[in-house]
Parts: sequence; C-alpha cells; structure tokens
Amino acid sequence: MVGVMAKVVERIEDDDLVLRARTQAEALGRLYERHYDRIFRFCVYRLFDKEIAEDVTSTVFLEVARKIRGFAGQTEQDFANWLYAIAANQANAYIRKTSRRKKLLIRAARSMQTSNDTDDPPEPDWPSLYTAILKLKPKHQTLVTLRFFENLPHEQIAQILNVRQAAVRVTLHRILGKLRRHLQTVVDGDV
Amino acid sequence: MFKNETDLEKIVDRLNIDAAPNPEHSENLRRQMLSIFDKTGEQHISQSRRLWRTILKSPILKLAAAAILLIALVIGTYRLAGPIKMTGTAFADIVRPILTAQTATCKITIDADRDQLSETLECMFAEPGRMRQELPGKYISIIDLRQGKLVILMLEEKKAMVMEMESIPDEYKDKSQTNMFLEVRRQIQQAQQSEDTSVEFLGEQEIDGRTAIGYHIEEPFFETTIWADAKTLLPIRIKTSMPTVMNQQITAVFTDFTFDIELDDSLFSLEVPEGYAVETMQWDASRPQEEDLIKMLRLWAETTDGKFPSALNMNTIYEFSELWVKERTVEFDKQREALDKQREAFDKQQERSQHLFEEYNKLSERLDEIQLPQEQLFQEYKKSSEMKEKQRILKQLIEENKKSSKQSDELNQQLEQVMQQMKEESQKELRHTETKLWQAEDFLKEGLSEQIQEAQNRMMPIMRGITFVQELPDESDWHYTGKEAAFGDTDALIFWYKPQGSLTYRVIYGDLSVKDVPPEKLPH
Repeated sequence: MVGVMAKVVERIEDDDLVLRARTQAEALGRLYERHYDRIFRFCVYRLFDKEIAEDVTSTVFLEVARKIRGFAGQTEQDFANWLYAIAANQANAYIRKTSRRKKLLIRAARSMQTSNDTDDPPEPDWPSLYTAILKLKPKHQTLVTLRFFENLPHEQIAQILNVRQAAVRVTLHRILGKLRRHLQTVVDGDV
Repeated sequence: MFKNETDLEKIVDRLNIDAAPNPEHSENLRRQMLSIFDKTGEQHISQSRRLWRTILKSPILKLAAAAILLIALVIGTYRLAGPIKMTGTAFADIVRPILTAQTATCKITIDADRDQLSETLECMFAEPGRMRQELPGKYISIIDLRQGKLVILMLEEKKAMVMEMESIPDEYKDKSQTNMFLEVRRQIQQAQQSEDTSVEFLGEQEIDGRTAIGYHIEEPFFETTIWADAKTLLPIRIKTSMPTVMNQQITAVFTDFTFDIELDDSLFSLEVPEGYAVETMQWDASRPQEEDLIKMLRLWAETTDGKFPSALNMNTIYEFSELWVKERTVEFDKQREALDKQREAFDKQQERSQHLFEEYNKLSERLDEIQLPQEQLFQEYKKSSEMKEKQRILKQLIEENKKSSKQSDELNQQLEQVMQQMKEESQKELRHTETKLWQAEDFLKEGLSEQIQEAQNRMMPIMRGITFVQELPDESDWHYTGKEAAFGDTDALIFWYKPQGSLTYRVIYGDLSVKDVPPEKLPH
C-alpha cells in the first residue's frame, strides 16, 4: 500500500515537475537526469565527436539553467522539445564556423572504412553518412538527425522546429534525394 | 544505398554509433547547471518579459490588458482626488511625497498570479497632468491631461494610437494631482477619508536592504502596502493589489522612486515620430451625467439578459470587463475552431499535393527507365563509325522504340493527367484555403489598437455611469437597489438621489424611466 501511495505521489510530482523546475533546483535536477542522455546522444549524432558533443551539451543545459524561470511550457514533452530546439541551435552554431566544419569532415573522413570487394554498392558506414549529412543545410541536418537518429515522429519534429507537420514530411521527402546524391559522392571518394 | 525513409531508418539502425555518455561529465555539468540556476533566482522578476509577450500573443489577455488600461486611464481622469486631510501622523508624512511631488520616477512591476507573468514598466510623471510609461523596446504611452491627449507608440509594430479626450472639465485639467500614482493616491486619500478603509501600522522591517516602516491600507476592493525608509520617510516600495480579472489577481509593485527631480519636457512630447501609422480616436471626457448612469444600466441589462449590477462601485467596472472579455472569448473560440478546421483542410491539401508530386516523380522515373535503352543505343549509334554497326544499332533502336512507344504513350498520358491535377489543386482549392487561413489568422492576430477601440466602445459607458455615482456628494443621499430588480419592471425603484438644491429626489425605475419623487414616497 505504501509503495502504491509512493508511486501515486511520485506521479503527481512528476506531473508538475516542469512547473516546479522554474523555481526549485531539486525539480530541475530531476529533469536534467531524465534528459541528459538523450541530448548528449543528439549532440553526438550532430557533431560526430564525443568531446565536442560534451561541450555543446554543457552549453545547452547552462542555457536551460539561465532561462528555465521564464520557460512557458507546461509538460515534460514541452520541456523535451525546448531542449531539442536549444541543442539544435547550439549544434548548428558550432558547425556554422567553416573551420569547425572542416575539422568534423576530416575526422569523419579518417574514420571511414575502405570499400569492400563485392559488386554490391557498399552500405554506408557512420562516417560516410555523417559526411553526407554535413553537406545538407543546417536545418535539414537537424531534421535528418531528429527523424532517423532520434526516431521522433513528424509531429514532434514540427513542434521542435516550429513548422507545420506537412512541411516536415515534404521537406524530408525532398532532402532524402539530396542526401542520396551526397552519399554517392562520398562513397565515390569525392569527400 | 537507401531508396526511401524506411531504408534509411534501417541503415541508421545498423550503424554502431558510440553515444554512451561519460558519467563524470554528466555529474559536473549537473552541479554547474544548478549553481547557475541558484544565481539567476534573484534576477528573475526584473528580467522576465513574459507578461507583455504573452499579452501580445494572446487575444484574450490583450482584451484584458486593453480593459485594464482603459479602466486605469478613466479612473485617472475622473478620480482626481478631493481635499487631502493630513492627519499629522507618521502615515501622513510617508505618503506626502506621493501626494505632493511635482515630478517623480519609479519602476512598476505588474504581476499576474495565475499565469505567473511579470513585467516591469519604467514610469515618470510631471505636473501638471503629464505621465509617461515605457516598456523598453515594446511601447511608450504618454498622457497630457492639460492637452487632453494620450499617445501610445507600439515600437515593434510602428503604430501610434492617439486618443483625444474631449470636453475635459476645467477643474480636472488644473488639478495638480494627476499622475501615475493615481490609483495609489486614490487609495491613500480614501484611507484618510473613508470609514470603510483601515490603515494598519506594520512596524519596522528590512526592505530592499534598508530599515523601513510600513503601513497596510485596506478598502473594499483594493489593498496597498507602503514601505518607507525609517530615517528619511521616503517611500521605498508600494505594493497594490487590484480586483481579480479573469480569475487572475493582478498586483503592481512600485520601486526605485525619485521625487522632484528635473525631467525634460521632450520626455512628454505628444508628437508621433516619423514612419508610424497613426490611428486617432475620440474619447468623451466630460463630467458624467444622470443619462450616463441610465446608459450604463441599459448596457448591463442587455449584456446579462435583463439583470442589473449587484452594486455601483469601482468593482462594477472590473466585473463588466470580465463579462465582456468572456463574451469576446466565445467569439475567439469560434474563430479558433474555424482556424483549426482551415489548418486541417490546408494540411490535407498539402498531403494531396505531396502525393501527386510523388506520383509524378514515380511516373517520370519509369519513363526514364523505358527511354534509357533507347538513349544508350542512340549514344552508341553516335559513337560508332562503322556503317554496318550503325545500321545494326538503328534497327535495334527502331525495335526498342516500337516496344516502348505504347508504354511511353500511356505513361505520358498519365503524367499529363497528374500534372493537370497538380495544376488544379494549386490553382483552385489550395489558394482558396490558404487565403481563408490567412484571414482567420489575421483575425486572431488583431492588434492592440483594435482591441482598445472595442474596449472603449463597450467599457466607456460603464465607466461613465459608475463615475457619475461615485462623484455624487454625500448630501445626495443616493441609494441603489437594482440587484434584485428585473429590467423592464416599471414599479421597481432601482436608483434614487437628491440633486444639489432640490427638494425632490430623482428616481430611476426598472424600465429605466426617471421621475421626480418627494422624499416621503421613497422606501425607508
């Protein structure tokens, strides 16, 4: 019975975790624990390098600490979307600097596997795919990461990027072709 | 290589990406984050800009804001204070700068509890009758009662709203107590004059790092707490609570006071800067009369299915603003519903277009596939230099052409149909839907000036009616019994008062007719 009550209390507390996190460090700490891993993972997908991903993840959560008191969202889903939006902006801001982009490309190119001997076209490995993704526009890179690496539904992606759901679908359809072409050039060795 | 979304999903699933976090980094970052969070706590209220942002985003809050603004202005116009009875106590010494300053500046932080909103305005006033409020980057409002003019500049939208007050009574223009503290002044003066109001001494406390003494003023609809420096007796902090609007308690905290400093006249200039779209409105600011009360009672009865207000006091204005905002909410909800439907239709059409687009791509690809062997043969034909070989290729090309021509024709026909559908879709319905969508969105984005115009039309008669009653002197012996009466009841007396110098009373009945009645015929 006590266990059930504890769960009920925990559930009630969870419901207003985001509201409490505006004023209570304990609630913000709990949100952090729940979302750190996924934001770090997202940053690794966007930035290839774990060290760089750690730096950007830090920037994301420090921004959260500064802005949470003014955060208007009510639910944990709102909070997660907000985190993704901040992470996407921070990652794009990092990549936007040409020298950094070049560094990421070189790191990815160095890790690429050599092609196999069969006649079938080789399945892309992570460095090749990353290199191809990096050739897309930053917003499109975010879209691909959220959809294929984070496996988020179109609806949530639309909320994070503040666009219509239909726009997400159409854009994905269009950039898939581009990604295919970029990947071909990467596989052909034209990094 | 992948062909579609599902393929790419599978490829990504098979990638073995190392994205395991480092616990040490996670722990350090947690500490750092919580430390920053603690530090930002104190700065929160002054930094928050959410109140105004939310007001500008939310049509309903816009309405409430417009109503409150008008209420404040009208209270300001009519409540220009009676004689100040200084009681000779410390309370009088504390409130003296507020009541007598020739110029002043301060910050006003307005909080709305339900939505946890907060916004800080920078305010200044200069006698006679000029005041300026500024929300940096958002808006500036300047009022000059001598000139009977209010200018609101919406800085982001580059819009200016000019309200011209007509027929302001001279005695109001010359009063030297028209400033942004109107509401606070009114409460203080009422506290000094009214039996319904209590003033309680709160003793000494540390306020904003200074030793302060405080007083709490309570009257039927307002509460104010004033803290002043214990040594200089100058106010440090004034907190006033307004009546609840839309289940929301709104408080205003005045801080950072300066009194009697030099303020440049240009700060109160009513000139609209170049490049602003100007909208002008007229506002009847004459002294309210009996007919204003009748007009107000009629409007109330029409809005509430034949009822009259439960009382005639300042809270009646807030009650009506709440009724009016609720009424507008219904309208907005309808529009919102229509907008959602339009959005749904728009999304469906986008889906249809996308489907057609995909179909078009598939057909084109198939056409390319069919034509590819011919293309290749043609290239071979061009490259070949031997006549025999050329003839062989040409023969093959003719056969290939025969084979594929039927298929190509069919595909071309289908392509044409899809193209036609795409064209129709984009030219007719989609455009139509998009237009409707914009219209609906425009309605919901209606500007503050339109809301204020609407608020003025609806709220002004209520304000003028209430002000008429509030300004009646004690000798008028006014009574109100409308709470239980129904609109149209010719026998029900709902309001009566004795005009100055008259032997009879003016009586307003439930059908809003008016008669002169001797005192002995009135209810006891």
